[in-house]
Amino acid sequence: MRSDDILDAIGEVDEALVREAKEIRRSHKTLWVTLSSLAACLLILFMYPIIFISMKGASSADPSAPSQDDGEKGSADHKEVSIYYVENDEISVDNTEWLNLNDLFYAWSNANGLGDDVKLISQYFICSTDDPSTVTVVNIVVSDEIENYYGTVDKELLLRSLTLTMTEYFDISEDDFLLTLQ
Amino acid sequence: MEDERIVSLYWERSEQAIAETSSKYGKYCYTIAYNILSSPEDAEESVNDTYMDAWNSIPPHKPSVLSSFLGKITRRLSIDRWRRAHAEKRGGAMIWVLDELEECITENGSVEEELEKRRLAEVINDFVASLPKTEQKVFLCRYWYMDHIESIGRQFGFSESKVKSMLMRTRQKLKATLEKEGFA
Repeated sequence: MRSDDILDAIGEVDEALVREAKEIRRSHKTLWVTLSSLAACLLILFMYPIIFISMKGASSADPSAPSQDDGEKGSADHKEVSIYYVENDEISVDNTEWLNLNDLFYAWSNANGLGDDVKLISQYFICSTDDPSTVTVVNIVVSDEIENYYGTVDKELLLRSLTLTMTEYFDISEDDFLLTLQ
Repeated sequence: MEDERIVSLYWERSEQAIAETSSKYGKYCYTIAYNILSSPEDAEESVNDTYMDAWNSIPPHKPSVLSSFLGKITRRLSIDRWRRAHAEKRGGAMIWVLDELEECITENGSVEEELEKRRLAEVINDFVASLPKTEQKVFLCRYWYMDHIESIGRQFGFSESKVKSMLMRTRQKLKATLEKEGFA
């Protein structure tokens, strides 16, 4: 068998699935543009009097400083989240509907057979100075009880699965992800 | 014009069928062809060949969704054109797509007969249908539509690294499926 055979076989995939690959993508984009425009209008409408009143003494936080967040950055862009886990000495993945960060961590922990003693203690985000809604560095702090499981789950694979889960969730490169055990 | 009406023009052997097809689906077919061939002239010829193929196959075919019917023809003709020319001319998404799909083949590959090719098509169709939706769409955008990674990232709001890692995982799953089905 050659890759050409696979390429030809892919050409025979159900036409409905092929169409869907393009159609729904456009509706996601349309829905997102519509919702974001509506949200922007409502925000201006409700915030205008507040901004007007507070104009004299208002100060804004440095967008480049680390800050705590509830982990909802980027959630509006995606409807699914990937959870990586170790199975049979390799990393597998499951996709599920979008979760907030705490639920994601719990799902990742569960998928890897870890106990409730392994906790997500805190998370820090560093945002772009040009666009504060864009996360550029993520640092999560996990309880060091995770070390108790290195005997049952390969340490490197386990930490790698967490890295993959988080970097995909925040849509950042692995270089921009920091994991701290505490 | 609705697809049904355009198909009727083919059945009536009206040359207006080609004009209407070109008007409604010309750009769509051209995009597929250009993704594969990366040459405006070759893509244009491929699209013209698509119209000819459609004219010769409708009737007896009576496609209910013309985009799928035409897209499939364009893809096949463009891939065939690329194969004929690839010794002399290089470019387009084909090089990278074939390289990537090589990962799905184990080392001891064997030559497949026509029946095996049909079975392969069924296995791959079932595999694609079983994928989670987003993964399925990204896979088809890359390996059916031959979209570039950057384009897929833009369309789904994903980074290029996310698209690449998603495709890599899907190829690994496909490889495992093909091995399990005896395509080793």
